[in-house]
Amino acid sequence: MQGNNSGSRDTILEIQDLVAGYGASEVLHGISMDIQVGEIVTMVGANGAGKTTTLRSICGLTNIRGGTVLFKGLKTTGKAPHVMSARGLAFVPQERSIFPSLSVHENLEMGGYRLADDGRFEERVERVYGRFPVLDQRRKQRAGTLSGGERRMLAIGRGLMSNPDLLMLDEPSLGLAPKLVEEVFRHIQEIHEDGTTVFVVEQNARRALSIADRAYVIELGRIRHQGSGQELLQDPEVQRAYLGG
Amino acid sequence: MFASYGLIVHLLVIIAIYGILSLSLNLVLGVTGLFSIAHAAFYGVGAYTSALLTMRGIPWVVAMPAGMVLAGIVAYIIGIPTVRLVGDYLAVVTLGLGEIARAVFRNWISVTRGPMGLPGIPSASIFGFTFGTAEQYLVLAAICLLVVYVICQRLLSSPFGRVLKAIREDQRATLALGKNVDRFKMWSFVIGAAMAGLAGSLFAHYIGFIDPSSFVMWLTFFLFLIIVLGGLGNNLGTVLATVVFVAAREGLRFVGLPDWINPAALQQFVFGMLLVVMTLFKPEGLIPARKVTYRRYRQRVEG
Amino acid sequence: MGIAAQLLVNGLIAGGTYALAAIGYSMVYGALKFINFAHGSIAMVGAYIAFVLFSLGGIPIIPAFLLSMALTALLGVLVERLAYRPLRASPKLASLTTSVAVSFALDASVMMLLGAEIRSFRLPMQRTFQIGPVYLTLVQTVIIACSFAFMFGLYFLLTFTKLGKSIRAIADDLLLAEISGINGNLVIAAVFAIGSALAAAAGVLIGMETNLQPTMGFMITVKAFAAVVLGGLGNVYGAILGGFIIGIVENLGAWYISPVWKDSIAYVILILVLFVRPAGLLGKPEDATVV
Repeated sequence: MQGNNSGSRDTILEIQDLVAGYGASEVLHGISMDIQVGEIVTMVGANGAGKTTTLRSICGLTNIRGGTVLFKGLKTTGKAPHVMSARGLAFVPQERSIFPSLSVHENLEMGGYRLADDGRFEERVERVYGRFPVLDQRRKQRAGTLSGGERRMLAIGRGLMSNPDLLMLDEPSLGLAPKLVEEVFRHIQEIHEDGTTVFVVEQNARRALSIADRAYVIELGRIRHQGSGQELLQDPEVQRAYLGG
Repeated sequence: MFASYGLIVHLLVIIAIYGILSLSLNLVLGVTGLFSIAHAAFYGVGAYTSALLTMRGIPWVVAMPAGMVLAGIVAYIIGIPTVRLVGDYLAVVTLGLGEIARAVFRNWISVTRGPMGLPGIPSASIFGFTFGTAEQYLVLAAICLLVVYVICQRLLSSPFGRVLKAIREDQRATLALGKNVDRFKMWSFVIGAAMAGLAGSLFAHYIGFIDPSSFVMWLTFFLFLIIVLGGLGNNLGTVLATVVFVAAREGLRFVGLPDWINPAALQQFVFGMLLVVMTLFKPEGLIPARKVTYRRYRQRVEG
Repeated sequence: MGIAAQLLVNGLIAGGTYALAAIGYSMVYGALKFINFAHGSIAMVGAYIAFVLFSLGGIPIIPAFLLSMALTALLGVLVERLAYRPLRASPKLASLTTSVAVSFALDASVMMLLGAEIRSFRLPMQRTFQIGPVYLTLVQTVIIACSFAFMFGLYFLLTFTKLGKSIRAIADDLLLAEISGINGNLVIAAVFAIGSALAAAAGVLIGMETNLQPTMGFMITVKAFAAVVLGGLGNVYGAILGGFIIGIVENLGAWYISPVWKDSIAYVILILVLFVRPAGLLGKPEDATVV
């Protein structure tokens, strides 16, 4: 089931030979990967390997020089980010992932911007509050005054508000205390179990691999290893390079 | 025809004075990227200081530098609160300075005679030699332009100039290299202001009469057009654009216009549209300079 | 005492118009992080549109006023689309230069089409009445009422509507807003429409109180500019506060110092404030400095 059955009805994201970067500099030198509906896929790699650039390329925020990105079978190149959002893609960036001068509730409203005002918004926002009770207590508070962990929860909640077909998270555990890292990963797992396809990019390889159906290891803009999360956890080369053992 | 010998000499003097002005603004805005709108004010400070001092018997060789120094001091004072702020603040404060300077020229009547202006400004003279005719004055203005040009070129290729360009390209990264960005910006601003003061002095002693209307904000905006035409940061381009601009401005006066068109308005409209079109389609200017990118600068600094 | 109250009210009248003009500056700065120099000229065009409709076209003043706001909104959107959007990725210097040039061109267009001479609305509302120690004309009452009504409307829009919230979201972070599904270009167009409509209102009100001239845009730019920075760049409520402060201080200064320095007072205050508090009165300090 987890092979390269590209083009099949269940492929939500397919990247082929993607070459991309910023301005004159090239970061990705031809990467290929895919994500199937219902999966949780992770990409691990060192700082600067091209993880964030991969996510940004999917959203149309980089300079794409070659290759294709297909989201739900449609090319994404040249599409504005808000169009991608409307098609069912949600992206939670690593930094600057909330609107600091808006209230918590308004942040969630912006996440669900495209929802028609027919009651679905209320239903969804309550679900996010149910998932993150800490946000519920702070509905009226300015998001800029939240703590680091609360901001991360709000950013993920904002991403969920559009009810995405694919939720992409960029280093959700970065800079958080160990207890909060656990909490974030638990939330990601729950979100996946509730039926959302998740693509999470992480430096915390051990934790990310342990929750992933499948995983890619990226090095200097190229995919080095791929396989199921468990396979890569056992792989001696991956262990040496990314798992500190 | 109308292009008489006298008119050509006059145009050349004006070109030299505008050339100095444009070069000085190019240093501040084109090279360093400081959005200063007060250039007309520094020009005016130089003109009034130099004129008032010579009218009280002080020789031009002293009065002219005094005008430059005063323009530089005003720039320094304005620079203290603003160079450390993002560019927009400098724009606002210099716009304000322009307004204040104009109000001073107009309202400090006991000294500047206000809107009536200062007539009878003596010609420039150096150690007894007076630049009395237009030709003699052209020589003086051309020498000044040449000196300013050489200084600007030198600055551009000096380590100082490279830091200024780096500031324009990427201020954060320049800071990261350990350069005191604010001090460099301040020096650029002060030197540019002093050069504008020199142009002011040359103007005052050439025309022999100044009034507040010579130093209005529009002048600064015309200078914008010149340095954008010439390519930001490009000294040679700036001088050539000055020639084109002054010639075009004089030329527009002789175009036969229907009565209902106000020639000043037409000129302003043409220049405005030209500036929009230039920025949109040819931001590197009509005469492209060798591009000095920040990356290349850093390679040079780091060896 | 009577004089002080009168000056305060006069300051409130002038400040109201400055504040209306400053709002557009502030909103555009919030969305695009550049100062739209052409804003004052857009206000001037708004004033002239109302003048043409009212004095030459014979349309009653209230529809002329509203129509002018609508048409000026359209002009603002057009300017953004044609002159600013292509430069959004370029260095900020390019947008600043272009906006200066647009201001050039707008002033010149009005001068060519309608002449440089001073015009007046000649409204039949110059009757003065007295409230306590203060004298007011009907026009001045209208100015105060209009500026407060528009400002309240803006507050309502920004706080309670989806559009208003997305305008604030874009000011916070344009990229994140787009990722979240907000059409950035559409909201920026709305920012220009609202800002320009309010500028037109300011222009018309200033034109009613004094008169119209193609160069009035520059005066509006100067005042609105100072108001925006005084209040804190990008903070709409700061811009409103700055507008009122400048209006009041100007009127006090004109009386107690000398009327000839009226236009300079705003800037002297501004420069002094920048020495002490670079971010302005309500601005966030981190927005003002580069590091």
